Amino acid sequence: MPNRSAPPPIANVNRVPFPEHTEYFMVGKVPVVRLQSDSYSVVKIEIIFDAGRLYESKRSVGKATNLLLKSGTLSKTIKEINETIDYHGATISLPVNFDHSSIVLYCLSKYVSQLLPLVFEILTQPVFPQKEFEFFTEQQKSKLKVALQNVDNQAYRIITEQIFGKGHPYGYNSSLEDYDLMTRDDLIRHHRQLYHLDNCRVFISGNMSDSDFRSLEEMLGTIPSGKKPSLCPQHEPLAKPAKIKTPFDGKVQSAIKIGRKTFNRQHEHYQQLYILNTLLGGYFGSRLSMNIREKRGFTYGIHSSLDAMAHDGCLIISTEVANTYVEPTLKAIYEEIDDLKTKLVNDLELQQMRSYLMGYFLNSVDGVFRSSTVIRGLKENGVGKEFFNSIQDQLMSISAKDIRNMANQYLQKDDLWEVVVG
Amino acid sequence: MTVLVHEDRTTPMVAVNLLYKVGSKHDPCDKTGLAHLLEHMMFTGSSNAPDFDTPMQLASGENNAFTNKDITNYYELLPAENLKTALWLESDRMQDLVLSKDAFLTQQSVVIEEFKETCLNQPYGMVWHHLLDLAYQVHPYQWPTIGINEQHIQKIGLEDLKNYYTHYYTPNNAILTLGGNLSKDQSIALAAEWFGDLDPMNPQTSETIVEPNQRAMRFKEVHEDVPVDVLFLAFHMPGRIHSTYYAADFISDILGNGKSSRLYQKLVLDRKIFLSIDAYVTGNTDPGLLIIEGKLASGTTHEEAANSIWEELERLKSKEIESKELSKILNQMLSAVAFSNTSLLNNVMNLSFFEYLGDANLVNSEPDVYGKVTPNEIQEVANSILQKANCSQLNIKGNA
Repeated sequence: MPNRSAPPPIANVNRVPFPEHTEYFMVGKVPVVRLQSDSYSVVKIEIIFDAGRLYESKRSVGKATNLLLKSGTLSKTIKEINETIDYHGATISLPVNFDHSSIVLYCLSKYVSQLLPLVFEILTQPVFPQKEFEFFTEQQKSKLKVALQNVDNQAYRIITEQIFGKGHPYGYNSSLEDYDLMTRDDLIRHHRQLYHLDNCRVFISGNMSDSDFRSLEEMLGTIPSGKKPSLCPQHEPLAKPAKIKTPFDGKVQSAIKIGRKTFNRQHEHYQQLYILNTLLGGYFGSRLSMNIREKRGFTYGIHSSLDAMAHDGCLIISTEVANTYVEPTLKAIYEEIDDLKTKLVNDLELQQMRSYLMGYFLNSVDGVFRSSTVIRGLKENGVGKEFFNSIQDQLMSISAKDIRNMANQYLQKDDLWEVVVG
Repeated sequence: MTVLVHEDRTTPMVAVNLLYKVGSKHDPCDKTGLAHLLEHMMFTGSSNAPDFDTPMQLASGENNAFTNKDITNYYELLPAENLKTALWLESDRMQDLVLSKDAFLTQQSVVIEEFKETCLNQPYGMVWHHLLDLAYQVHPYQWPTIGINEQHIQKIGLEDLKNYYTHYYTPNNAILTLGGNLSKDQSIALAAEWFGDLDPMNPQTSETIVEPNQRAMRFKEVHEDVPVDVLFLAFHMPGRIHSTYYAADFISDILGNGKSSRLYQKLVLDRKIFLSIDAYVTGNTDPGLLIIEGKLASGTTHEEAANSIWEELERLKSKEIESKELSKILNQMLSAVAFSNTSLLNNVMNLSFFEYLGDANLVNSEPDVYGKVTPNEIQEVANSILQKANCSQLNIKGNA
């Protein structure tokens, strides 16, 4: 019979090693990170460009350019491209975020040699056919119209616009008008200026043969060189944080967002703020989740996230609750914030958060695909192995007082925007 | 209790997956959503562990669960050294879940908010309610797992949950899979240690409800405050372990998997009748559905849209597919399996699920089964399934 009355002893995760990987420079200048796993039969190859919103000449052009790369090349129609990808059971995804645009190939390792030439053809010779461009804008407008029906999306649009400014690449909201103002030429220009050798890096994870690896270098050589884009981040005077309530007829729940501008991962307080955010709303055992969901039953979910972009960041608390719960939810959120500002967290809560995060870190680097995602995320933010180690040191050494200090510095009510849509 | 072990020494983690053979098809028809609400209650404390999540987090673990029409599945992922914590928690809540009144009222409220967030407050959030209700007349697949409406969830009482728990949450109605950085012998010994003393019960056997064959096309139109019109066609098809399931699954791939699929290429890219289109199978244990779902381009009527799909279906029914197209969908399947296999959590979930279907070895052998599907079989199955009399059509008409 097992002894059920006491929990089994627990081993702490004391250190998560930074994942093993190899770094290269291909064709003399393109940084490449490779995580090889011979036991896999699949591979992921990601080519990243600084071509996100930060580098756009017009709104939403970055996204449109990247998503339309697959829609036709000098020698292949959209149909031929789709057939080649699907025939090999592959996926080519084209993710974009505020800072970067990527082309990602996922495929069986045995088909890399058949697919790499296509990837590079898409990258170097896209033609953005007018017909596909027009249909794409119709698809995007329809997606946007649906997204605007969602209270959570609306609240996100409002709060990020306030946090960063209406004209800022991190703050502006895509609109139906963006797609009317955009032309095919804008895409061609965006591609020509940014998708070049001096503006890209590569992450490879999974099983890739050495000969495919060599072909990759040869093909990278076919991308033209260019000038590293310069950044001109628009700084506009930001309004003083306020409360914004936007009615949305017919909705049974309201979306609540409370947040502020923060900073990127290089800031001296990023790591401590990350830890504070985890305690506040970063996991299921957090203050907000335990209080608003598990004690009061006001919501299906509440969380706070600390987003770090290349040049900035934001901390946002998010939840959706029945319209009648809005006021008591807001009150409870501010009470938890006040509590973190005035009282010291106890040892058990601190230990629980530490253990959870160490397990989270351990799992985040389990396997080459996840490890590659972690390394990419750090490198794209200008940090790396040292950051991965020091956040663990910080986690072990942070005191209840440090946490209270962070709360006092970054969670002052006057600094927080409050948005309610519903 | 069935126990499976998957040894994988490349990871520092272990994963524990516990599948209970009970899902929303076992809900009482006047209190739908019961199985899912009980899943929420499983995290609210057992006699020796007053809280499930805290010990898991202290053990550096993550955990969650899902309920679907057929099963309720719980899982934990944690550092290998802390395997016992998961076994302690899972066995304790199998043995004696507390089911307190306070926790019940809170979780009932949480689930009602979940219903509002995922169904009532979302554009198109109620389409599954409409579609399943149209496609099934007697089988309990006619309601979504979360429940028919808020009133049903509200009507569920603590006694209902207690009865349900007693009848279904027994070791002989569960499949435990342990995977990751562990040894087979150690795992089996630990499973015996933590679960061996739990009493088996006779799980409640409910009579199998068989949905009668559909005899005529069904049709429903719903007006919603949404910006884009949507069309659904749902066809009855065999259950997950039926020999023709595989051909039917391939039919959904031929029609809708990837941008070179027939429906996407013809009706989205070429004819621009739809803005997007998809085809997929529900994969239920009992006979399920093959569903085609498309967002209409502006100016297209539901009738034109449906007719254009039927043209493609007739083409599939009248002519065998060529070997190149078959190779394509086979490659798509093999690639998806290979990527899925790189995840420890997927591996333990799949083992439990295939064992539930009748044979854990299907994890390895199923790709071969798919590989044996012939163009002729695909054509035959297409002809038996893709018939108007076997179809339910749902039109969502927006305000555009």
